[in-house]
Amino acid sequence: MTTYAGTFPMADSPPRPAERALQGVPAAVRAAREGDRAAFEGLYREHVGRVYGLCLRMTGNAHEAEALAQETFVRAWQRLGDFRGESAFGTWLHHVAVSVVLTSRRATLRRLRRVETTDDLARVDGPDPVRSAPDARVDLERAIAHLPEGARLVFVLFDVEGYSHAEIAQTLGIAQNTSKAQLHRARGLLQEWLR
Amino acid sequence: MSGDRDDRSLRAQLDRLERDVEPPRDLWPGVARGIEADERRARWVRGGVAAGVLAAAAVLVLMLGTRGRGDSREPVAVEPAVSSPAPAPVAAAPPPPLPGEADYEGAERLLAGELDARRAGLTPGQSAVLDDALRVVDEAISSTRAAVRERPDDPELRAELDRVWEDKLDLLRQATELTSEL
Repeated sequence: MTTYAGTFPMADSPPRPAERALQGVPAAVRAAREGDRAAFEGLYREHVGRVYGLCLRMTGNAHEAEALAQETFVRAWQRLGDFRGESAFGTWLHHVAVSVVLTSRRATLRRLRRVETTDDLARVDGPDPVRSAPDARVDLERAIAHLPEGARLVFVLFDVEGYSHAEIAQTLGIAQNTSKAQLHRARGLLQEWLR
Repeated sequence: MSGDRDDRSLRAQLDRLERDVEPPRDLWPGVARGIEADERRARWVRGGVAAGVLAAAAVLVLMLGTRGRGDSREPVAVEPAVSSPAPAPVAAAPPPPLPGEADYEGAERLLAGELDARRAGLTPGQSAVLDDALRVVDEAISSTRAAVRERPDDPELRAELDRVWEDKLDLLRQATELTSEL
């Protein structure tokens, strides 16, 4: 399994000279950094499945995943100048995608909070697992999509993408214990639905 | 026992899960449109910034020119203000005004009229600098306004239009004040 764990830059690691770091960067990435749109399209073709898969599993919604995958590549194009080659391009792009998805989820929550009552907000955390369980028994992919939002995000990042609880806590802005609890909840629901 | 079996079953399914999921359609056209829109916006913002800088420079030139010059001013012919955007083609129906546009145009007409009345006090060089600044600001307004009409829900574009409108009014205000000191 390809994992993305351990790819966050350490706070106390010294910065590497940009020129030296870029020496190992693939030519297509270097060309895209210089504004070569065709080279960037090549990178899109290479990585779109990975990015779309991540967006799909994090949101549980195909239409939203398409929009967020597109947004990820637009953001990546804008920020290519920030890519220093300290990690693989795919890893960097993966973090851009996670950031885009989480920003979108936060904006959605803010919009919902403006128009809905506190009671309505319970729905933001996903469908009722008991009632939706019979429909979710089809396969793992669909079951993941039916997980409550918080549990789904943690499960996808930990079990599918290989993040550690510390990285998830940092990325989602939650406590590590919350991450562990959400993972436990997600696994329990999935085991129940897939039994 | 059952828990362990469930856990192993989930692990096995997770191991079989494909990390890559092909989207149901090609997303590149949307990505390309997003990149183009972003680059257009960057150009408009750069244009607006350039207009603001030039407007400030024009005011500085006028300010320096009005100090220490005494009576050595050369009489110059009054030139029409270059403060209005390029006229739209006669055949085309004007688009409906944007929110705030009528207020801006009213203020702009008033200030441009005042400035025109005081133009005689400027040297040809100052007048040329002022006209250049007004032209650049007007071009920035025109392109930003077109962009806002194209993407009316973009808050950054709308803020940029408000800013270049304000740049134009500031330039007219300051130029009018400075010429009144002559």
